Amino acid sequence: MRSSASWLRRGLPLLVVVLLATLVPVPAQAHPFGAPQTVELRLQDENVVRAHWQVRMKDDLSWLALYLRLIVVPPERISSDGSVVYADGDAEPLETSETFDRYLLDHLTVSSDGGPCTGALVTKEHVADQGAVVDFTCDGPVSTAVVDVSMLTDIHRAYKTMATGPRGQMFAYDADHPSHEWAFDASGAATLGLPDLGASALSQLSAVGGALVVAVSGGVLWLRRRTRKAAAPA
Amino acid sequence: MIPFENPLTSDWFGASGLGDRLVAFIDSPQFPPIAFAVAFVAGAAHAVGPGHGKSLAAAYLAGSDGKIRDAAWLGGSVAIMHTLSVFVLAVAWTFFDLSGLIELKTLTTTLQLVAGVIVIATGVWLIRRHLSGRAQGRPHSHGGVVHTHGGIAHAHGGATHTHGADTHAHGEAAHGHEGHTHGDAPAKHTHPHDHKGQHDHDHDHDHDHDHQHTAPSRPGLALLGMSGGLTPSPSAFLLLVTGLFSGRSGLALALVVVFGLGLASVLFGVGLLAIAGKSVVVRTAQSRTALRLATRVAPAIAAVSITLIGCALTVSAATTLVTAS
Repeated sequence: MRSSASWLRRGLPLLVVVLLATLVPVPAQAHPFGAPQTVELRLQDENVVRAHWQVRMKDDLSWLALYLRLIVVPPERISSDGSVVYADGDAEPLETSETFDRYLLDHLTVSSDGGPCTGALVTKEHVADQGAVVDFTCDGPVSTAVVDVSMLTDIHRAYKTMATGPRGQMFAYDADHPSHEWAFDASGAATLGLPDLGASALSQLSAVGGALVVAVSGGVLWLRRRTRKAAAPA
Repeated sequence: MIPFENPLTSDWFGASGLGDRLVAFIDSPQFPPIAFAVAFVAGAAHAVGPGHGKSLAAAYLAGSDGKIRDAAWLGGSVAIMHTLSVFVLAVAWTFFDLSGLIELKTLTTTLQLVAGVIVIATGVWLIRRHLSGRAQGRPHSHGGVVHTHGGIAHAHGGATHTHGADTHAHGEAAHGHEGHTHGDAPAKHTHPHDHKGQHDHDHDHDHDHDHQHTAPSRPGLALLGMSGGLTPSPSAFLLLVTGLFSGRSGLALALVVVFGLGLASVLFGVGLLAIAGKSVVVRTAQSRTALRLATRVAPAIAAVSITLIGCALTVSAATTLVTAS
């Protein structure tokens, strides 16, 4: 007992230090919330695919402007978790710079029937709030098209782009999956055999949710039964 | 969203790297089972970083007569709340154009504000409970160690200690436990509850003895757990969104659940550490006077600490919201 008590006394300072470390109140704001950028695709004309690109975290524009050397970010605007505090002026150089236009057209491309479609910037005013719109004019009517998106992945590989298209199509672009084929009309949808992602998500999420409810309920019942058994008089 | 690598970056235990790896599993053609292990570790690594209610868990459990099951209850609450929070946000973001209504950073900061208010409410409630307990409590003796029972005294047949005048006893049908412990007494003792023929009772409310020793309340623990899990992890959110967009939402949700369990395991561990730390202090205390003082003061310190942490969370979130607007 004495050795145990002495071990406890020796270990007590360490325990106190660990406890104090856990007691330091730090708000749970150690990281920016990572809402991914989005691209919305639709057929603007029979031979024109319109892409609407938008960031969902404005500090992504700060990083992009910094990456394109359009702004300088002072160290005090970089948080301890590595995120940049967005400032109102960060997006302005992007709205006026041709460097950004080239970047956009290099990292967002469309091809149809094996040939590239020509991209033209429609608008990038208010890029922080409304994003940028690019029209891709193809040689003929577009039924299906391959859209390549590599926006920001050259800045950091972990960037993703969540893309939506006609008929509930969705795709998650990232550094390893920069290319995807989309259907823009009924024949294209039939050609590609589009899955109904909404219905699929509903059934998958319901299955996992149901399994969870069953598992938790089973666990609770088992615990209650065990407690009752232990408490029952002999 | 994703920062550059820079010397100011504090990537706690590689949490963001694990999160990125986790999201990559969803996209890979073959889904490896090891993804679940990575999800658990990523959740734990995320929880090890600043925040997430560890300090609250420690303060609450150390300041009350916390048990292992209370720590498990707290961890479970965090896991459930985190999973629900990620699920609701990811589904709303994907299918209901949530980002068109409100910027997610604003939404999550608002959730942090709500979490802070919940923590303050819990802290204030604990302070009130402590104060009312002190006002109503009657000191009595358990083998030489004086403590109060919040105004409720009870009798144990055959036990060698006495209680206040409003003695009551326990119905056999109401609780069939074999004994209870007084964790904040140095001479921890157990009373066998052989209720047969020893006392007579006419009340049948279901309670245990813990409540008489500033024991943690389940609603209080659940509230703290909820506040800890209310703000979703960016990695878990991105994981589920990616799953929804790539048609693998079931796997993604399962990984989010395991991520939440990893998160909960750290809270559970911190809770155990707090309980063990308090137990060590109690066992090694030399002076009974000091111990008596500590056991009286600890709940008050815990309650005030929780309130202050809640204030810090609330002020921080409110400042961020005001600055952003």
